Amino acid sequence: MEFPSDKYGMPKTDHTKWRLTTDSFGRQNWIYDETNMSTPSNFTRYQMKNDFNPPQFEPKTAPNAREAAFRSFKFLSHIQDEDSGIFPCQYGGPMFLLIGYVTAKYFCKIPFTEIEKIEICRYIVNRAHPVDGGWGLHTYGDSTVFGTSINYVILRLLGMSASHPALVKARSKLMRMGGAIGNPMWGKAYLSILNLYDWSGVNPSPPEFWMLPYCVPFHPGRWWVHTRAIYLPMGYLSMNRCKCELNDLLQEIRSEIYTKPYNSIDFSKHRNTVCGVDLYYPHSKMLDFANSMLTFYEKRIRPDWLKKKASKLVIDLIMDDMKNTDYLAIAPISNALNAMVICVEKGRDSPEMEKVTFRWPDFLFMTSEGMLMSGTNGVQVWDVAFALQYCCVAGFAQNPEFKDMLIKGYRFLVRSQFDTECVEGSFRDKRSGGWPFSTKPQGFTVSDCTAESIKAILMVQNTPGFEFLKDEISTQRLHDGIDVLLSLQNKGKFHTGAFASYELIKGPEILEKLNPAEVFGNIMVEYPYVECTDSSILGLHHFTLHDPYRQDEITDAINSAIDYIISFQRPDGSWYGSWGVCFTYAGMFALEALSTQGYFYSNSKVVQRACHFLASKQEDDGGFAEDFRSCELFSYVKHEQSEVVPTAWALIALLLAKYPERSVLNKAAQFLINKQNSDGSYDAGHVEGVFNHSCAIEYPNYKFYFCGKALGLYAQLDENN
Amino acid sequence: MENHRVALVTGANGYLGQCICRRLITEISTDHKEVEKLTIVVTSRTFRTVTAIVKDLQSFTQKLQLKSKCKLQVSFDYLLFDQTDMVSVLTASYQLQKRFTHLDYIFFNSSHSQMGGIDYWQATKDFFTNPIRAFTVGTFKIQGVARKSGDGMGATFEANVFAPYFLVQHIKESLLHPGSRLIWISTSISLPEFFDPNDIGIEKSEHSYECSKYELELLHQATYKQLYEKDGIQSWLLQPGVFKSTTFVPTMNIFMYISMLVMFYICRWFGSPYHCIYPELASNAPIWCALKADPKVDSMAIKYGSSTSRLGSERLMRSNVDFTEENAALVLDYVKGLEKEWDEKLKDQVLE
Repeated sequence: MEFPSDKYGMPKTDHTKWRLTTDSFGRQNWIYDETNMSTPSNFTRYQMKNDFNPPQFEPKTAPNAREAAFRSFKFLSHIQDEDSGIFPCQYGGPMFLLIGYVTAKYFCKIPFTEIEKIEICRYIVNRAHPVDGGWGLHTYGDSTVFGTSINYVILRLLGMSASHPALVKARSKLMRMGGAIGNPMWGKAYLSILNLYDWSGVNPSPPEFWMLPYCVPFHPGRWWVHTRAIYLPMGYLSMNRCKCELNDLLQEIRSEIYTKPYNSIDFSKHRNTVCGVDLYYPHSKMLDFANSMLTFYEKRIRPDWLKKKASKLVIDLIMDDMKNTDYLAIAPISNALNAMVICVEKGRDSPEMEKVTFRWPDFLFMTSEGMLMSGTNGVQVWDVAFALQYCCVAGFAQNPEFKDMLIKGYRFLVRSQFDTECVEGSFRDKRSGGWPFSTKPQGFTVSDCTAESIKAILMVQNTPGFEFLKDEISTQRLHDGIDVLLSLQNKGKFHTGAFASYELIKGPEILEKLNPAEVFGNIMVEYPYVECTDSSILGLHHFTLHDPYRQDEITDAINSAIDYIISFQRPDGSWYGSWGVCFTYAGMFALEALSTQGYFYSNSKVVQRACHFLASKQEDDGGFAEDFRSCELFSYVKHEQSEVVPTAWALIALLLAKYPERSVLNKAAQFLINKQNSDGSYDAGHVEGVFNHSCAIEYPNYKFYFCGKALGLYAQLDENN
Repeated sequence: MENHRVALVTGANGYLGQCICRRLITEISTDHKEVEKLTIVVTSRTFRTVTAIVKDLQSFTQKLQLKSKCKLQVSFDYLLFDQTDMVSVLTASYQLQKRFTHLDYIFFNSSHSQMGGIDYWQATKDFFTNPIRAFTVGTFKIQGVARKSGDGMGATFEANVFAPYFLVQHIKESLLHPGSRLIWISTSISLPEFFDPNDIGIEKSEHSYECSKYELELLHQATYKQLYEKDGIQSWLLQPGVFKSTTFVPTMNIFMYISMLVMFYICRWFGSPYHCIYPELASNAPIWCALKADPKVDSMAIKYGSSTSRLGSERLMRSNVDFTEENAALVLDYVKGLEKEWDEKLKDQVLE
């Protein structure tokens, strides 16, 4: 396949030399083996398209759903990482992650390797918009000033010439959008650090807020985990006006990214200048007023001793966060910003800095298009939990072909449970017993991951032949998991019964009026999520099938969660998905949760409406075709062609709801069978996931285990009759 | 294809655009029961206006479906599209061809103007000397000399004349089919007096808006016959009357707004057929062209118009475009030349 980078004649590394290495906690590190002597894993071969020869099946198309389901799980087991038990994947899509890494390295004066320069440039060029050559917030989006300016700057910093056709094209697009002055806040901040913009033109994010008493409703400790993790270091860098030393290259870039000469721009007048194309969430008047007041405060009032005190508080909180996350931070953006603060405070050659840079490869992921930065350090626990559950649910738990896969995955999940608490005073809740989204070292409990992990562990260990696995995780540990999960259910006046993502909802929703990011929605505090609530119900319910611990409380929790789910159904029968695309994804989780409590098509109007909504979206070819734009518009948007992942989701939903129209189910199953490759895999299709309503993100393993589950459940329809 | 209609509405976030979308949904659901699905693709230059209009239309559709129990499935999609940027126009063409297999209605509703505000002194003079004409044509609007776009063309010409033409040429083969309708929304003030055969690119005019709309009408006259005879594609030209439009209302303060409304009513009561005043009435002609016009009976050479009686009931008016074949041919040649030039400039633009 010829990529744009090939058409431009850009250099490329030898893709046969890349290796994905892991450790027992699921760390994903790509190394370049110059000698080419080590044996690449199956996953490496698959990912790099390097001599990948999975077992082929005959006939090429499975004769029935049972066989197709088997092949799907067989393929998945083939690419499972032997050492760790994880199912690695490229968690790509967002185009504003590499800028943090590149800025951090440039600011801290840590050299780039030739290898990463080559492959990062390839990735960015390959993900440019095919027509206008710019970049958006994510790879599936329209070009924006944010995406275009920061990725352009990366290419220049990594050595590409301003006259390279890809850069000429991107620069032209940037100029048509008014130049880099129209960047939203985060873009302005990154460019300020690089000395390509001025901090006076960035809205303030004073770290002094952390000094307020916690009872204050807008204390940052009450904000959503990702938002506060980013604003902590960003506040430090902004307050201390941290920036790179100006050099010739930066001078050149300054002259390239603005429509006017750099020195003629009064940046202080542009705090609120954001290009119309970028501005998804305009400022409220409250925020503009607050920013004006804070700007005045920073300029005229804030004394030096307070700055020093705030700086000290920030570095202390950052170091606590580093201990809580083994120097990963919650995700790459905060990781990179933290790294810069640590570099300033502790020094580039400090042991702390070394520990930070040691973690950087955990976020970089190699693909045949080049090197990207993942949304987090991976999807390890989430993927393993689903893969194990669905293999069981599809009816293959006792098939000897999957014994190894199940045991390895199970042991990975058991290893991944938290068994330590966070540092005191780091604004974190009790976590021992919970599970993360990615890896244990990353350290952040997630409600749905905890629930799905408990369910996966119980499913596997209660399968005949796997009872010996019960010894590997004590009942107490499972009880701890349930304790953490129950503690995450919101019980206040608002959103009773709902589960949010990482924590309880701790701040008022009105804080959203102070959302300064301009490009993301619902980021200031935790929000209730239908999908997280559904998963939590699934985990709690499955637990009750095996253990009477806290039975009454769990029953109450499930009942209030179900009430919440039902209350959030939209008039057309759908549920809006915040983490996957979109109504199909949320509909699947909702119907599964409802089915565990006895709500089916035959007895529930809620389920009937939901099924009618989904069934009405089936395309002529039997598949389902929801487009990412559904998430942006809050309205179902059809993708240009049917895709296997939404088809699997819809089929699962309808099967679990016991939807009676057999023809709908048959056509969907046949679509999945026909689309399967002869090795049991599926090709990558449209993007599967989303966050904060506006950013698309890929979940490559969804196509394997969701299709496997859908086909397995469908096969059981006739087998059970 | 018969039972799924796709409508592209440019500038759907404007007052007229919103009403066109609403009436399309209402009238297809009540009068065209053979249509099962309707997709409305809204365009704007910015993302947040798109989300606002879709939210509004969704809520409208839900209320309609509850009230009338109609079975029409309405869905939405969007394009970000700047008609003063040819790369953006090419992107729109690319995205449309990727996502759809057919377009049934294109409402060329969005238009670019340089309305800067009101010349109060002129307004006062005109109020006393010729009030009806003043509040029909808007003689006191400040436009200034035509400005250039980033592509080096007159911005109003590029947005209102060339970009739509270019888009149609690029999607014709793949998306337009016999029965597809191009609905050109012009204006009641597109008078031949503003046309200058030596400034077809509208780089010098002080009436760039009116001139661009007149050129659009000339282009229509020069192209509709062949489009219909060769490809079965219908082109309908209309003017939506005088109404409170997004092109100038947002520049007004409350005093001006009320004065404007009063003057509009006075014009209407004095017999002006043009003063629809409200965009709901102004959307009559666009919807009529889309859903009721029959090429076997109605002529595509006519300029249709939204109109009202003195008491405000909806009418459709018909008028002839005052033009010469020679001028129409001039505009077509000019635009064809530009098309060739831009096809050459953009020939390597797409890289995937």
